[in-house]
Amino acid sequence: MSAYLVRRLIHLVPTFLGATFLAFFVLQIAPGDFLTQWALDPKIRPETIERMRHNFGLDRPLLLQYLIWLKNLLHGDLGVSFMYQRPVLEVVWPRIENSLILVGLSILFLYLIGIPIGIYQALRPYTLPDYVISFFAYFGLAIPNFFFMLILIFLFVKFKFAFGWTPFPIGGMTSQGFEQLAPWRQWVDILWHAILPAFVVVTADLSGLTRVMRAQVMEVLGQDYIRTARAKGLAERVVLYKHALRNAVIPILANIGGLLPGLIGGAGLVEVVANWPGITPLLLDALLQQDLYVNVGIIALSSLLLIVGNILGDLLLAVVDPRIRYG
Amino acid sequence: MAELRSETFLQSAWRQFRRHRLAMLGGGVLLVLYVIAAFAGFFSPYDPNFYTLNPPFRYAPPTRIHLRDPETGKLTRPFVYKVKRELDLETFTDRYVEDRTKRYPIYFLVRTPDQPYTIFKIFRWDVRLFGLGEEATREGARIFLLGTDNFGRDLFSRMVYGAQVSLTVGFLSVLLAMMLGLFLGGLAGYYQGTRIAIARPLLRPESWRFPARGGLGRRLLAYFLHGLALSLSFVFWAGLAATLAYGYWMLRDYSGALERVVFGVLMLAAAAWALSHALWRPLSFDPDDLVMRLVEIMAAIPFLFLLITLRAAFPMEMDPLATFYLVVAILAIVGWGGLARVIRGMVLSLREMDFVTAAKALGVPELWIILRHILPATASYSIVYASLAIPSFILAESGLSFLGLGITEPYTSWGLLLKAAQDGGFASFSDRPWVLAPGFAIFLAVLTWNFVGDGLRDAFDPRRRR
Repeated sequence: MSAYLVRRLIHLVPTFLGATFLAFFVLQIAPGDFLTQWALDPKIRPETIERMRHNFGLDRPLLLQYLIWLKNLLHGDLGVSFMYQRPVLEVVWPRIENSLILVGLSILFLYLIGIPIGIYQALRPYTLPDYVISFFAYFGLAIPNFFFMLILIFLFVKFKFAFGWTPFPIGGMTSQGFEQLAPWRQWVDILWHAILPAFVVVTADLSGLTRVMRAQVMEVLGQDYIRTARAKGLAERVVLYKHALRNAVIPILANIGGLLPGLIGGAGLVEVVANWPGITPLLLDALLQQDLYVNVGIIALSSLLLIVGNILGDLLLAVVDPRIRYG
Repeated sequence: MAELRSETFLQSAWRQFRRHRLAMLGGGVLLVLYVIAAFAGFFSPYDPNFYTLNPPFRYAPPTRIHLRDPETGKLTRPFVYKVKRELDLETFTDRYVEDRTKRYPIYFLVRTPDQPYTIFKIFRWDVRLFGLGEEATREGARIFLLGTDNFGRDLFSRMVYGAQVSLTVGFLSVLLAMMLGLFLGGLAGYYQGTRIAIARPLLRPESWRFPARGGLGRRLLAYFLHGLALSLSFVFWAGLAATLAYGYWMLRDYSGALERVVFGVLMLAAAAWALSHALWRPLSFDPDDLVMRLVEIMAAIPFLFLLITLRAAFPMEMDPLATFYLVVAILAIVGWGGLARVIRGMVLSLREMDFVTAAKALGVPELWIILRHILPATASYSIVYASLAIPSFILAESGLSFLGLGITEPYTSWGLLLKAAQDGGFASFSDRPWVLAPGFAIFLAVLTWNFVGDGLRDAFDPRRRR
């Protein structure tokens, strides 16, 4: 197991290098750089721009810029944001935290809602509730999540006009007067704001998960060992929750690593619509401003999160399923 | 006597598909959507970029269609009134009020010589399914089924034209992604385990020789290819040496003492490795490794980030048509990996099958084996993949356009229309809900494609047959 883990971690290095180099390459073949827009300003002399370009290291060859970035990365230094004039990590990390709140809450929703619904459906297949839920699942798969968020905002704005208050806040991450709140109240406030966007982020995956869970439970319930368990007189509750569920849930846990990229990407559009100060709005800003190191930093950190998430998913799978052994 | 024939694979798949009621419904709706998109000019009352400043129609609500005669109260030919913009003195917002002096009947199959259109860019025509006619348009009467946008352009017409882009982007990019995925995935799977030399060692003259057989033409071709590979080897090694030297020379100025040592050692190791390959051992690679590492690297970057980063690599102001093809290409580049991975796995097992061995024994060329014997075996999976990938690509395009990184004016897509809806902030679209209509079009297209995809999956999967 630990040998496997070490092998995975070693394997992580070339992938990470490849991903960051790809990002570096793609970002640098874009015409112009951060200073190009300054060149239009008559108050700034061309020599000043050339000097700054030299100071930022933007006049060096691409490969060299990448190697230097890599060297600094080993020191825990992701470079300096041109736009904010601060270290990239200081700029990016709070945004990543914000996005992780959203994604974390989404995953929680996913399992807390998806698994029970899937089981419920599997126990009553081809009945009216089953069809109704399946119908909504199609609904959730097809609706673009940014559009869903727009509709919810629309409804809540209308609600607010009608009644003067809303059950959930519309947009943003914090209420007014957030700074004066006690720490735990601040957390409650953030979570309160996160519920709506997190639910929107998770709709598509939720629909997929209930379908998989339903199929899984139905398949497992048809197995011989379930018949055996029933035949020897076990209570239905035990049969279901102890024998069937544990096997049915395995492929769903196996998929946890595959979920992350979709959730991070899906959260992006919702962040933009709901004014959530996550990574994607920052990335969009930085891309437009050609703030190179912020862009590369975001892609490096998010791909690192992704790879680590995948490894954790595999480990989780090994813990849950004794049949899986990594030699 | 009737000939007894068993059902072919496609026949039974079609029979299964027809049983899937949702899939048939989805297919029907999709057919309608694609027909509307193809004949967009006919189905839209106005040109998508038509607007007037006088009279103004900025954010006009959907036009009320009257079915009853106001005097007698009886059913009559549907008609509309002219609307006039007024300033609401309480809220200081624009308000559109009907001017009930003259009725403008709605005509079907009406000619609009002032706004001609083309079908498939070839046939010019000016007959539209419905409209008020040229005269009424000149007098300032309009029919806006879904209101107007920030310029006062008819949203319904723009949605119909947006369908052209939104529905074809999904199709084209999936086609491209499938070509990439099938080709690279097939290559990776079929040649997994074989090593392809990219550069031949310089001190091993025996590896330069090329064992050519066959006629003169074939031998000449072989010698030509061999010569090409050899000269490429020289270029490759020279280029590598130059890069290393250049990199080392550049690094001198930029690193502290410790880093210089570390980098120096790394550089030396790389140089030694390159030299040993250049002189004695051929440098070769496994195509499977190359393709699959590339897939892994691309999968390590979140989908959306890769999408918008790739878009940002090109100038923001570009020719609109070029932007359209760029969006198609980007979607395909981001999307081919998943298919390639699965196709590779299938090909890996298919290449061990008896029919492939038989084809090899008969001397069938490898390319032909791949194209004719192996890839067709993956066809049913590929079709299902395509039908389920199209909706996700439609979603991706709408997301990209929604962020302002996709389709640009004067073209339009459903995502771009939603971007225009959202641009004014939360309060803006709560006053004019009709601007959200394009979202329902995306929803419908994605939903129906999903239905069709599910139907196809069930139809092609023998285990799911009922």
